[in-house]
Amino acid sequence: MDQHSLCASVMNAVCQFVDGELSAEATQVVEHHLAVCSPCKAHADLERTVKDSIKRCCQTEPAPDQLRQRVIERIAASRVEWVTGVVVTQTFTIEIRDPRN
Amino acid sequence: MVLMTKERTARPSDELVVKPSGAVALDQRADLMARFERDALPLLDTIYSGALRLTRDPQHAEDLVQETFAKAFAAFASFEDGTNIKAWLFRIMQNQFITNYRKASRQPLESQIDDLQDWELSRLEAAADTATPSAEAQALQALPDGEVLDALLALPEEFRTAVYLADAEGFSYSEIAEIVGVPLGTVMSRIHRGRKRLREALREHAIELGITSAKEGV
Repeated sequence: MDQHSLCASVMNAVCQFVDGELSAEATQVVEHHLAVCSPCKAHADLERTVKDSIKRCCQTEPAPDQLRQRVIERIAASRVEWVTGVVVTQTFTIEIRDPRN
Repeated sequence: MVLMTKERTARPSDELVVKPSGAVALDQRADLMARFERDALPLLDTIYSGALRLTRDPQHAEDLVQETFAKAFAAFASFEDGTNIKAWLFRIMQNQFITNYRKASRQPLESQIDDLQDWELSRLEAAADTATPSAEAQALQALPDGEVLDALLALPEEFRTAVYLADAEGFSYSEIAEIVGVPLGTVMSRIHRGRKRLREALREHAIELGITSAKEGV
C-alpha cells in the first residue's frame, strides 16, 4: 500500500481507533503509522481531544433529593400494590413484609 | 418470615393464614427489591445526567428518570443478573424518551440528520481543514467546559446521543447500537459525524472568543 492510501485508510479508521473499537491487529497498524506520520498523528490527537473534551464537560450531575425520594416512593408503592393483591386473593388483610427482614 | 400488619395490630394467628405459595412469592419480590436497590438505584445520578443531556430540560429529565426507574422495576424480573445494568437502564430510558417525544409531537422522531445534505457535510469538512489539527486541538483544550457542553447539546438528537453515550459514558459501539436500536454502522457514522459537527461549532466559538487566532499566532 502506498503512503497516500495508507494515510487515507488510517484517517478513515481514526474514530474507531480513539474509541478502542479496532481489532488488536488493526490498532497496531494504526499505531505504527502514527509513529511515523505526523499529519495523521495530529488528526488522531485532535479526534482524541474532541472525545476528551466531551467527557470533561459531561460530569455526572447529582440527582435532586426530591427526585431520588420520588423514585424510591414510586417503587415502594408498586410493591405495596403487589403485596396487597396477593394477600387479598387469600381473603386476608393487608400485610407488608419488612424488606429489612 | 416476619410480617408486619398495616392498619391494625397483628394477631398471633396471622402468619398461619398466609399460604406457602404466597410466602414464596413475597420472598421473591423482596429479593427483587433488594437487588434493584443494590444494582439499579446507585445509577440514579448517571441516569439523571443522561436524561439531562437527552431532554435538555431539568423538569423533563426528572420526569423521564421517574418513568425509566418505574419501567425498569416493573421489568426487573426479566433482567439477567450479571449483565450490563447501566446499558439496560439507558435502553429503557431511550425507548421512553422516544415514546414521550412521539406523544408530544404526534410524529415519529424522524431523523434530523438525514436532512443533512452532502453539500453541508462537504462544507463542514472544508471548514475543518482551514486550521491545522494541532492548533484546533489547542483551541479546544482552551475552551471552557460550558462552551463544549452547549455545543454538544445543540447537536441533533441522534448525533448528541451517540456521541454522549460513547464519550461521556464510555459505552462500546455494540452497546450503543443496542441502546439506541440501530445497526453498528449507523452508530459509527453518527459518532464520526457528530464529533465533526461539534468541532465545527466549537471552532466558531473559539474564533468568537479569540482563542483560535491567539493560538495560531504562536
